[in-house]
Amino acid sequence: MRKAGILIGFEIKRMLFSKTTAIYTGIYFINFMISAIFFRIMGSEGTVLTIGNAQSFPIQHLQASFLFTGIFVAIYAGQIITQDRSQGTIKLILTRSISRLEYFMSKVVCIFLFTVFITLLMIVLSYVVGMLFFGWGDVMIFFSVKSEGLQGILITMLSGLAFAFSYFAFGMIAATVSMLTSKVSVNAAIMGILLMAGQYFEVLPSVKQFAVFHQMLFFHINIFEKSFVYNTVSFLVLMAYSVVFGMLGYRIFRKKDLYV
Amino acid sequence: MEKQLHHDFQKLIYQKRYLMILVGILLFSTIYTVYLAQKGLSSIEMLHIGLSQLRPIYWFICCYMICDVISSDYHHKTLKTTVPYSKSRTAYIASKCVLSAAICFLALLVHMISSSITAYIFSPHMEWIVFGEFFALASAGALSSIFFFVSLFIFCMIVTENEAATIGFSLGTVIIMLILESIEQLSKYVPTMQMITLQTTIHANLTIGMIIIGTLVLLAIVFTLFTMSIFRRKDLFV
Repeated sequence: MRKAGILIGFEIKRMLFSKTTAIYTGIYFINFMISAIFFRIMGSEGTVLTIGNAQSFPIQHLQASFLFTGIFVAIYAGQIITQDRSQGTIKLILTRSISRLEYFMSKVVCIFLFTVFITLLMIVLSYVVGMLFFGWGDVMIFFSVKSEGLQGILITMLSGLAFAFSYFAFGMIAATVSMLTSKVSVNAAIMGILLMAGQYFEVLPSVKQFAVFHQMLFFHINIFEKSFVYNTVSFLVLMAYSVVFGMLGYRIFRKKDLYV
Repeated sequence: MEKQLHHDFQKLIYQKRYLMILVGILLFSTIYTVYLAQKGLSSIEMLHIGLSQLRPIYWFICCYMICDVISSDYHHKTLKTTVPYSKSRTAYIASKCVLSAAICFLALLVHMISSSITAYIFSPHMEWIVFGEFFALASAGALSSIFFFVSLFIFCMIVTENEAATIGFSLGTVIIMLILESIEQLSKYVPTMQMITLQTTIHANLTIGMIIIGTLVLLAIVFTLFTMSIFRRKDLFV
């Protein structure tokens, strides 16, 4: 497992300092700036914000970043799954004393860490933009939740963790798809189109709770708004997606001919 | 440039996924137009609604096709072998620009032609002047936006030399524009909307329409020239 730890450490360093992360930061920043400017001009009619203050800014933006975050997670999953295969470096790694399972699990852990990292990045950036445009404010409002100060930050972090978990389940689907492709762009395009089409599950009330796309949009809200039983079912749905696609991805990877 | 273009074009022909994308668009357009025809809409309304519905996914597909064309040599590490066969590095970039713009425009043509034919079958009383105007202005709006995006994405690819960064940047840019579209006052200036809004803009004010198209094309030329100058000075011998 120590070798898997080294692989994870390497991926974390790259995650933090890569050009891709810089581009994602820029895109999120522009998105939050647009939202803040429009709220200033048009009020809550023109944006996803219901109140203009830094306390509420991050948590109110999580849902609106559905497409951005989904695509960035898909790109990351595709990148870490395909890079070693496309560059031929996987042969070097697997000739060391590391099993395919350990190698695959290190990638799964990296995808989870990336979803947490990108959520934190979003939250920090939106606090910054919120402070620049509106100041800290008196109260944090998010649907029926009203809070302030440190408690508000903790609620935002809890919501962010739920958000990251639902995107991790989506990341596992992206990882499985990328096992079948060799290019990041193919994976990103497929997952991007799936994200757009997946939103149509919202018109099917009886099944939407079982769609990962619905959970990506609402799980971080429902933990405050819905019953414990409803949230337990949602959590199990996300776990099921993660486990099933994780196992499927590993099965494809185990049977992959890497000796060419 | 012709040699490079021929080589890139052959690569597209052999890679069946582009054919699959075009067939997918053809099927979607035909089926969706038939669905709209059942609602009793006029042919021009069918074309308008069909194009509006396809547009967000069309731009996602364009992002993929542009990034795939411009990043293939970086991905397969064949840049060192391909560039010497090209007349110059400028010709290499120009060829990639032309090819990626052409494949995106071809995808739009497939949609417009298939939905027009289907609309004509279900509603033969088509006003040809209105149809011609719609076709020409939607194509002009789409082409100017395509050139703008191609130049922007190829600039990102040459600067970052990273496929994942480029696809992230391209999809992120398109999503930001899709967000900007929701603001009514801004929507007629957003590049992703030009294939829909150019007709209305030109009818309301010809000068503004021409300025929008002119600005997009000018930006595309400036970005492409800038990219070419960076690419010419790049150390590709490592």
